[in-house]
Amino acid sequence: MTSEANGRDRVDALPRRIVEGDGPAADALRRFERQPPHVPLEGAAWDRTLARLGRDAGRHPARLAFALVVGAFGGAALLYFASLTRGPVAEPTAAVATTARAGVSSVTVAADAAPVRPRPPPEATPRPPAREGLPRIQLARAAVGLPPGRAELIGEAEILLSPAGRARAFALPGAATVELQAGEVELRVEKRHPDAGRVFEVRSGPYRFTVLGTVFRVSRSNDQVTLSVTEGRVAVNQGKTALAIVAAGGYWVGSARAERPRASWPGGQTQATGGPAPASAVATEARTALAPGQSPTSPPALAMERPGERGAGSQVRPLAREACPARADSGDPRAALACFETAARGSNLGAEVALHEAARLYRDELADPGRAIATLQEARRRFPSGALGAEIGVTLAELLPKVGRYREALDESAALLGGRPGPRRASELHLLRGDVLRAGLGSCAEADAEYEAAARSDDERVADPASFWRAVCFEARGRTADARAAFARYLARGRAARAADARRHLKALEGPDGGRP
Amino acid sequence: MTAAPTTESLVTRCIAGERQAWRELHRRYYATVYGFLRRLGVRPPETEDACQEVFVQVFRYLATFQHRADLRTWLYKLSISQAARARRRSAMRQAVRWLLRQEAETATAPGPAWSESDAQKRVHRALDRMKAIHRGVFVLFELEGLSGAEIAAATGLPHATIRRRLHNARREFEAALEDEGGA
Repeated sequence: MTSEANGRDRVDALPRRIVEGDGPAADALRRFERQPPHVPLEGAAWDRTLARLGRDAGRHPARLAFALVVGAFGGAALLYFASLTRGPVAEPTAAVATTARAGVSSVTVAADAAPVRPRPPPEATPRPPAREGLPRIQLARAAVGLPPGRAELIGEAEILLSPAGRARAFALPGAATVELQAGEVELRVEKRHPDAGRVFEVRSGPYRFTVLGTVFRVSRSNDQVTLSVTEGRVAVNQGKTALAIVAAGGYWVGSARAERPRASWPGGQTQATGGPAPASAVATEARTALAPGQSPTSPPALAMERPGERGAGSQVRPLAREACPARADSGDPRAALACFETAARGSNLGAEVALHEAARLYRDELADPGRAIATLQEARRRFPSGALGAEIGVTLAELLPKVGRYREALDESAALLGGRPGPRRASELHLLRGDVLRAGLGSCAEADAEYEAAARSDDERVADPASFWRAVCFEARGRTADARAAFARYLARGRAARAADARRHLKALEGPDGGRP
Repeated sequence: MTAAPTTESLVTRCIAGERQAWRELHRRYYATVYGFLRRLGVRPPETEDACQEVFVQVFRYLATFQHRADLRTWLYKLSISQAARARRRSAMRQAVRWLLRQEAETATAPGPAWSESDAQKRVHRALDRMKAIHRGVFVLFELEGLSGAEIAAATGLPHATIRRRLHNARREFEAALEDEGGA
């Protein structure tokens, strides 16, 4: 055997990996490996790499060396002047290149700078797969107007601007920004890593919507700005004041002209409407909207409302009633309803929001679930692909059991589950379905699987009732041993909300008759 | 269903100038390279730049690669050198900021702190506290699962050095993790 082979044998006989052993380090590494790192979209990275290869092609080493020398001298001079002035660095204007996806047409718009001539990619490198007709826009410091319709902001987002919409976009080192002046814009933004140091934001009126990786829509009419979030989260800011973080399924409405927004708080309570809210109060509320322990995503299901559970996880919905605040707060829900119905006559996102708010009023203030359902079904008919589609579906699934339409509630929730909702929303729907099957249709056997799925949720507000009712179902089906074990497991939870009930059940099960009446 | 092409055939097709093969190569290894760079301590957005640089190197020099080594090992080797460059650039930026008396760059809005589990954050912080020379060997062996021979090929280090660095790296990691509050 050669010495090299001996060496390889020795080095291959390295100790066992830490994860194969025991101890805190092994445990930490195992958990670390279970959660792969966030990786940005590969397609966007491929585009950037291709562009880079295209730029590099044809560069002569001597030219590179010359550029390095000039760059070094220039950098040193810049540093010197910056250290002298220590003032804010002015943002230079630069060229913006807008290229068509097919790579055929190439338009360069220059502003106070020499135009950038895009170089062809090298022969050996392929172009990315093209989506025919989709314009691709490379953002730069100088703002570029966005065309109506769908476009790709290279490496940042896909954007859909309404036909009559006006928007422009630009990029600075810390942020890529879309400024919406009129109309509606829908964006699908690549997920941002928390450490990324670069954000994507939409500005409209006095507001700034900072995107944390999401699909969302911003609409601007003459008097209001509406945000609707389909996936992920969006932070709303006004100047340096944080107003809210809106989660998936939530929406937010603000006055397009307001210097300071009025707010309705999470849970549907609305701030007094005599004037604008103090900015500090708004900011405080925005922070409390995501207090420790509260889900950053949607709230638990509201269906089969249980006393004391409503509002515990209210959706972040600040300013949702801003358009009709006085009436909503005045204790006159009929007047508020009339206001929302007027606002619902339009055909934009604001109208869809108004219909949804009207349905909530019917449900919460007027105790009329039938009218609430009819209003939501009208919203669905008028806005079949509306931004609030999922939210309307959830509200319908919650409301239908209240009027005895259990099968429809099951169909609605099944459709929502088929749309691959997030884990939290899915567990809420499972809990809802369990409740419908158990309390509505009296089928504990069918409810068991739903409760089992809901009990796995990491949200206590879902897992707690699901665990309890699953144990009750075992008891009702005569599975005494399973019921005893399930109640014991439930009581072993840290904070069992129905501990007294569970103990009573357990005591009865452990009695001489085994819990049977 | 068509089976995915082997790495060897993919490399051969890339060298032959087949466009789809380049795309497939990037798609197949992008996440590996990105994740490895992150574990080596390259922070976003530098990670994307470093990742791009690795693939630019691959595209330039793949013709000279000729299967002399495993492609994955070569990618690790390129990533290690890019990570070292990224560290140097980061140190340079900090020095420039210090010179200009500027605050470090921060995002205009805070990122969601809940996107990474506590365990992930602790491990990342512990890795950040390790010496760069130890971290490289540690990540390759403990997190990427490479054998000793593969680590030797990726780093160009003698076997004895790898063993010594790994031994020290483990002690360093465990101590750092303990300081971070255990597992």
